Amino acid sequence: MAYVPPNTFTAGTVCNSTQVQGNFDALKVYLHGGVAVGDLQSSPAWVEAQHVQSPRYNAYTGLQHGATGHQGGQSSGGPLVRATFTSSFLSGAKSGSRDWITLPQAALRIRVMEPGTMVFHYSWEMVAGPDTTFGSSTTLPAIADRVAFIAPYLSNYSVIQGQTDLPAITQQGQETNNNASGFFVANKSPTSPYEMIGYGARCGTHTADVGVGDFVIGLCSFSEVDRVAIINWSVAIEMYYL
Amino acid sequence: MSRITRDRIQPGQNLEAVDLNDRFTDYSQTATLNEENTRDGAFDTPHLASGIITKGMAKTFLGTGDWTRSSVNTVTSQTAASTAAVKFPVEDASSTETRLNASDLTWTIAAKDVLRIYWDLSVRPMYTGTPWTGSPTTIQVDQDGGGTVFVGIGGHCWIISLEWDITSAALANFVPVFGGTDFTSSVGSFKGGSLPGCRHASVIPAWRMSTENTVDGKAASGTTISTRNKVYPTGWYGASGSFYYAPTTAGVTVYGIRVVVHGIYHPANGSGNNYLLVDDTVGGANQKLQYSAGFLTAIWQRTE
Repeated sequence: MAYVPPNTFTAGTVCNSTQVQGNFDALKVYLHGGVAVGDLQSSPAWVEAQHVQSPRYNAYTGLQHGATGHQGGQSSGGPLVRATFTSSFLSGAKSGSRDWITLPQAALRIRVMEPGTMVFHYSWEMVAGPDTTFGSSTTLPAIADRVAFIAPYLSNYSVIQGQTDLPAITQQGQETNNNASGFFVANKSPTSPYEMIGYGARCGTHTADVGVGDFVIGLCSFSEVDRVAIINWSVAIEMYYL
Repeated sequence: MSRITRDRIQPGQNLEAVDLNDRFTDYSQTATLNEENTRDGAFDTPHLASGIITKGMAKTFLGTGDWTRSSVNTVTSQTAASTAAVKFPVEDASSTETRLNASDLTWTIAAKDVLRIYWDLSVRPMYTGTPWTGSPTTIQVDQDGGGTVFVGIGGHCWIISLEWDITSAALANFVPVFGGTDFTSSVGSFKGGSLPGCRHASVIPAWRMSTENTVDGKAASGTTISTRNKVYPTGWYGASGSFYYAPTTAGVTVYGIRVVVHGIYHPANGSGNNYLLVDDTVGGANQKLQYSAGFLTAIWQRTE
């Protein structure tokens, strides 16, 4: 509570040392116990950026962490990794499995220090197929109907490590249709550029309220197409403690 | 400026009771402690109370929620161009709207606040035959060997747009979000919306089409559409959108947010303005949009 002297002195009365000490003791409690909210100036607001501790930047993860939360992102797997991939050979689609597999280089690991709100943004450009190959699974669609999904996932790191079937947020899976026709290099214009189907540029955002912990948030994939190249991608995070 | 600036008692001065009281009451500074009492870098995470920057976050899954497509919903294209757009809210498998309700929101967006909305939805445009024939945005090209053929210019699309209810928690008055068209503008005998008003909308190609201009710019000869033109289905397609509302004065109270599907539209120009107009010539029961699963989220924050 705010400081209020417990004793008030009156002219013409004896000044009692106990009363003086009582005021000092109350002041000590106030100064050591913390400033009361009501004593802080609220209008106009006065806390500026320099009053808040500077964030730490981790160049390896591309993330910044400070008093107010996390921010940062990645758009590659490093200086020499500019593409990533997914495949039905890993998802098991051609044999009847439906495993959501990791999309390499497209995840962030953060240590959340306070309960907060996480906003995860992601985008990718995909070239799916061409895949005109046979599959024995009854759940594998016809060639022209095959797709490659990418979806976000969010998990505690201690839970997710080593998993081969990731906890995808499947409702947010976005797909790109297989290039069922193959690449045409016909000697007639303008056929060729229009026949490169199987291309998809997609983006999305996932939000979550999370508590203190070590989290991984990233992209995973379920592909019905045998070979899928992700030629550009980005993952970015905003994490608000406030 | 919160400083104690009282001069000390000098030798020879009387010490009165009031002086002693002042020494203590100087520390009672209600609502005055400020940057003068704080060093740079003083505040770290433990000092900060929650709920200051991010005022609210709400989210919901959209559609049937079934990514395997065992359960999908279907919207049929509009057949009357002269009426305003017929919009279909995204629903679950039980025909219940999947949206953000007043229990999720009831957010009053103040000046210098920002409302951020993001959504995504898996969709699949479908068609039968050659619905683009006769459309205002179809071109007729010469065919090698004689005759002509109709070719769509690739502008036909479905629209998915955002609506909010800023009237009451009853959610009976959904309207396009701030600045978004309701697709009720008239251009000749058509209805639609201007492109500058489409900031709340995402378009989905109804089909993808081209022609093989093999001889002197003429379409290839042939008796079937597959040999004359190249038409590809769009297939299942991950659609997405976002919207930001940052009023400079006291804004609205948002009770509900939803995503609606409507179409098929075609591009047009009228009086120097560009529009997306309902195209009844391509509409019909066989032109439809399926959707399965998606996500809708809104974040309410202050900006300073």
